[in-house]
Amino acid sequence: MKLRLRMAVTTLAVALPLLVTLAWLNERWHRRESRDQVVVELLTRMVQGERARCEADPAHWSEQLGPGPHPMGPPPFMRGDHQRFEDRGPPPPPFDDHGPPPPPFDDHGPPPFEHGPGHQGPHARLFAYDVQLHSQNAEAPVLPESARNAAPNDGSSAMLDAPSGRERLLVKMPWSGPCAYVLAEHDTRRGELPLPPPEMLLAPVFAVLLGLFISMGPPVRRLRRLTREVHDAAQAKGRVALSSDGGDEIAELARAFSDAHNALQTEKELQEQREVALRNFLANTTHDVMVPLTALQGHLSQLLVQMRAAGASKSDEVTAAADEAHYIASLVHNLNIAAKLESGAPDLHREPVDLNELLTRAVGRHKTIAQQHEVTLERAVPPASVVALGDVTLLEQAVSNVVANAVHYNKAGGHVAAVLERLSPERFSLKVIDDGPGLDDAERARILERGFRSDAARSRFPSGQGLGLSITHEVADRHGWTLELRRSEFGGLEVELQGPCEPAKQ
Amino acid sequence: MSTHILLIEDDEKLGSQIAGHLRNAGMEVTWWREGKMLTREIIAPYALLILDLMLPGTYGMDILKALRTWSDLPVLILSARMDTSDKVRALKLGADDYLTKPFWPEELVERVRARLRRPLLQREGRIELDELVIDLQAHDVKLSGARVDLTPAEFGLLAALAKRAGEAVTRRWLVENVLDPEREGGERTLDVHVSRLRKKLGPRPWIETVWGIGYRLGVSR
Repeated sequence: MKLRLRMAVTTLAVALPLLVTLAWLNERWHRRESRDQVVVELLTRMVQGERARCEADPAHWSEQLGPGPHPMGPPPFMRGDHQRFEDRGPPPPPFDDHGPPPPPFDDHGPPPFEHGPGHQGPHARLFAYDVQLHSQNAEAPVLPESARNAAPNDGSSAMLDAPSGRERLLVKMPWSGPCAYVLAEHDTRRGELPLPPPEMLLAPVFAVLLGLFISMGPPVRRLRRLTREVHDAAQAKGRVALSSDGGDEIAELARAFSDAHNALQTEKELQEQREVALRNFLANTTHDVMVPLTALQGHLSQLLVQMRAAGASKSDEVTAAADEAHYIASLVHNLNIAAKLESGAPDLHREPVDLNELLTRAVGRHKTIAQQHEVTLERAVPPASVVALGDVTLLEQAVSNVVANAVHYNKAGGHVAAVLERLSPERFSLKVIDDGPGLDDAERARILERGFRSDAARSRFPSGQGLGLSITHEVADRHGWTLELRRSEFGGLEVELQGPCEPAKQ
Repeated sequence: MSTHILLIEDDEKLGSQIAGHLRNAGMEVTWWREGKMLTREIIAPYALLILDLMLPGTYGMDILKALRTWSDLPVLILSARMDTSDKVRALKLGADDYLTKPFWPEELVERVRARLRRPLLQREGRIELDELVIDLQAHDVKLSGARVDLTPAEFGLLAALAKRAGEAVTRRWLVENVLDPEREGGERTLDVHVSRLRKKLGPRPWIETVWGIGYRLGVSR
């Protein structure tokens, strides 16, 4: 759930009970208000004449109080369109001796308090009781005498226990006699929901929402920024410090993220250091091997020249030694590249590589050996340089391996030709063809179907030449080049590399 | 006067060996065992610099960088430990070529020669190869001073090979770029033209067949 949605749900969860509480309080307040109103109205009416009627016939006196379709009509304080209290019904019965005489009716009866128009007053039925809380009216509910204590003073009132749905209010009149107490019993059930008025609802709801909206703004903004920073940190190198101002949970989260990232980073740096150390070791070892190897090749070459000069036609031993030296060199190159490829280093160089020069170098490397084997090795390149993007070391070794194979598996008097051509303005082809024994279909397929696995390649081709072709295949793949092996028109093998190049300059 | 080459290589054995091979190939060699900054006076006699990158004293790359600010002297880089970034950097700094150890002495000599090879003598539309003179503008060919009568297709073919003398040129390239696509056919037609051209050029095998590739106009150098 998104944060804002969750906040909205939480708000509702908080606001609803609050609303119910408010409604309940409102209801309480209203009841209290109406009770006071009943007491005042009751006293007023009793004073204004009902006392006389009550005392005249306490056995049958029972009145309705409040609005609605009852004989008494609206209460006296409802003026305006409403009927006046005095106008209704039959005139009060004559006075008798009991009790003090009631005050005379007059036209100024209404009490001094005013309610807003349309206010719904209580709808109650009245019963009279004497001081002992006995009623002469048979309909009047029986009250315990103890209720007297609840309303001891003149004008005081008390709520009494009542059957559910009803409310009983006992009011002590400021006199004694059969009407010393009046009980107002009314229905508490209402037709409408006990909702507080809208103005009462709006204010707190609005306040809560506004508060939430304002207070959620900054955290949401900070969370978004944190998300952005974590994303950036995932790509960034080195340590990061995510913004963690403040001491709240978001700041803690930011610090936790920073710590986790930095811990990972430290681990990664250590690993990189180890890798660099290993690679440097390999490079230094290569260097240390290559220098004496160059000297060895020089000596062998010199030896061959001297032997030829001395009249020896050919020396198999020296040629074989030269072969081995040459093979060791290419093996070290290939192992170096295999290590690089297997480490999965993604930082393949993407520099412009002049393929004309590259092919010239790759062929030149094997010319001496080819000559010793009496294999003709030639190359052709287009007049304008073909330039492709790539890693020159990998590509040169890839091409060199193909040439080395073609020479190695050839026979005396055989030929190898390496041809670079532009197939279209943005595509080149680099073919190495020979008239050696070639490979059968199964062998060709096997070389191409295998992904790069130096161990498998090494064990499959004990001479190590398989490693060379595997590397060529892998390097071609990494550069988006294609490698195809087929039978050449001269019976040997034809290896073709194809790939994209920069458009020819006109 | 033979070509003078400056070799900067710290390895004793290798240095003396390289110097030996170059001398055998007819070149004069001065060998430095450590790197130092070059000046105009120092390099004046040299036609080419062979520079090892891992040197005591001044680092090879720095020598190259400094040299390139004021000189076009051909530089052949020599290194055993060569990452792609080193190669790219060396070429960007202005190295003309590089050779990765180990290499065969023949390979080194060939590369040095390739760098020293003068651009083909081609003045005012004329190509001169020993006794063969080709006038590209007048479409005229002279062999030892005698005019050789060639058809336009034969002349085009000879001119194309002569412009890249010493280089093998593929049949396909010749068919696509020299033969008239409207009138002439494919590689077989090309072979016919070559065979006629050979006859007209006399006994010396000017035009060599290169196995698997095509033809090459041979030059004696």
